[in-house]
Amino acid sequence: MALDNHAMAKLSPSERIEVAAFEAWTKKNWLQLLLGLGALVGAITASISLMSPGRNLYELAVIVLILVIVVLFSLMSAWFGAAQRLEKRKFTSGKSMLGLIILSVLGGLLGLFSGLYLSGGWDHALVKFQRLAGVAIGATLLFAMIEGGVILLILHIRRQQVERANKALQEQANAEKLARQLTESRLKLMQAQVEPHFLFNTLASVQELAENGAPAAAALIAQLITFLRGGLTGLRNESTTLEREFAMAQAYLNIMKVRMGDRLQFSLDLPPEMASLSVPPAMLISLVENAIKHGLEPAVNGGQITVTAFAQGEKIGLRVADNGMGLNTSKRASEGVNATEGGVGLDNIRERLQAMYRDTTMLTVAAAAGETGFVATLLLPKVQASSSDTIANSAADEKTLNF
Amino acid sequence: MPTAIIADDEPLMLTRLRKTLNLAWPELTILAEARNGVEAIAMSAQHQPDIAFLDIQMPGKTGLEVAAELANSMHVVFVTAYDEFAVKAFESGAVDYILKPVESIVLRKLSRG
Repeated sequence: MALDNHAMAKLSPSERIEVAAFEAWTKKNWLQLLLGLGALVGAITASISLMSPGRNLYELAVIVLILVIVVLFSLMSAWFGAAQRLEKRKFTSGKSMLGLIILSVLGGLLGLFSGLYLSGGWDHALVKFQRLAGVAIGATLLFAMIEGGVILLILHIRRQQVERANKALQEQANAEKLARQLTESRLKLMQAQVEPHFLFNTLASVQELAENGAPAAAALIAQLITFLRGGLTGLRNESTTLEREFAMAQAYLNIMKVRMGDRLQFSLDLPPEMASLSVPPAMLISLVENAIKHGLEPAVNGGQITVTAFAQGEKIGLRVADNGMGLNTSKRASEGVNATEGGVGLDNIRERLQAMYRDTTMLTVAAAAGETGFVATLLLPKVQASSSDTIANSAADEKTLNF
Repeated sequence: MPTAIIADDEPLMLTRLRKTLNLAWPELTILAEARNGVEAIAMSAQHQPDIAFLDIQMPGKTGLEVAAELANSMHVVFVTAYDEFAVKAFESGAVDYILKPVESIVLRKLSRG
């Protein structure tokens, strides 16, 4: 196929490009060409046989066989042509299609002329001509239709495959994100529980109380146990109950009350009918810790924290309000807290809401009435706790860790 | 007789620090107890102690902020829960510190050194 160097040297640059392009094309489409050639030979043979007078049954069988071969070759050629074109993403390229049509037409014409020659005369051939032309045009049309159909079919199948794969990937990504954020929450809570300032100060308080023989020492240890257990078992589930969330918040606030003394006042309000409702774990405690850490601890005179659960339509409302440092103090600003977002401590909650419900507006923060104070409100969908949520520490709970 | 003020926002921590200091260093007189950074500065100005024992995380002003204002007029000892970074910073800066929960042994070392 390739021209020798001597012949190439005689060509102009543009001709050389054309030759190179033609060689590249035949290289790429060799299988299609081979199959087209097969179809061509088949068409010629069939045409000759049609033209010969006095056919017998045997000849007819051969003709039918050859026609079948022609159609098969066309089909295969069309398949490869379509597949190749899809790979190159050149759906509208007519080059190879044109080549195949030309081959088919050539086959028809060659068949016509050889048939004319063999059948021995124009008179006789005129009738045969119509038949032959019909065969040639029909074969070409059939070929084009098959190739077009195959392209559409492959396109459709591919699109469906891609859509399915995309959907599966998206679901997987979302599940992984959820798992990651739950793990992050677990780590954050555990980190907060063993954070030196919290743990050692609490233990030092226990130590001081115990040394004086105060009964409050045992009570403080009991609160610490409840708080630590809440972190260890509550977070093993994807959801927990409001009752457990409030018990943990209460234990934490009781500990902080012993430590902060008169600088901390607090109240918790959970309506009994809401106690068994299911909520994602550790969101409430994050809000309460946020209020202590950024609201009351930096405030010289401390303040009050109010934790409230309320029903709002079909939603569970959780509100944590404090009258501590508020939003706009330099103290909060320096700790990465700003008016619109409420601080780094709340980012994790927002990320989890985004992953679980695709909605970060469920958490809103605002300045409380008056000069100081901060209110965080969480609106969650109402779900009754399933049985696995109410059995803490069971084998079923262990499984949910590995989802 | 050496004198001191102590500062911590948690009342139990103040009590514990005072008791431990009394035990470990009987000659030391504690002149005042502050519950935040602003009080610590005011009491230091008022009492002029030799030493200020300062909790680091305090409202109003942190122990570090208080120390920056007092450092030239008295000796400062930080009282902190164990924190790798803080302790490293103190050691490299040759700053005295006490770890919470406060143990008398640590304090004795300090008073003799």
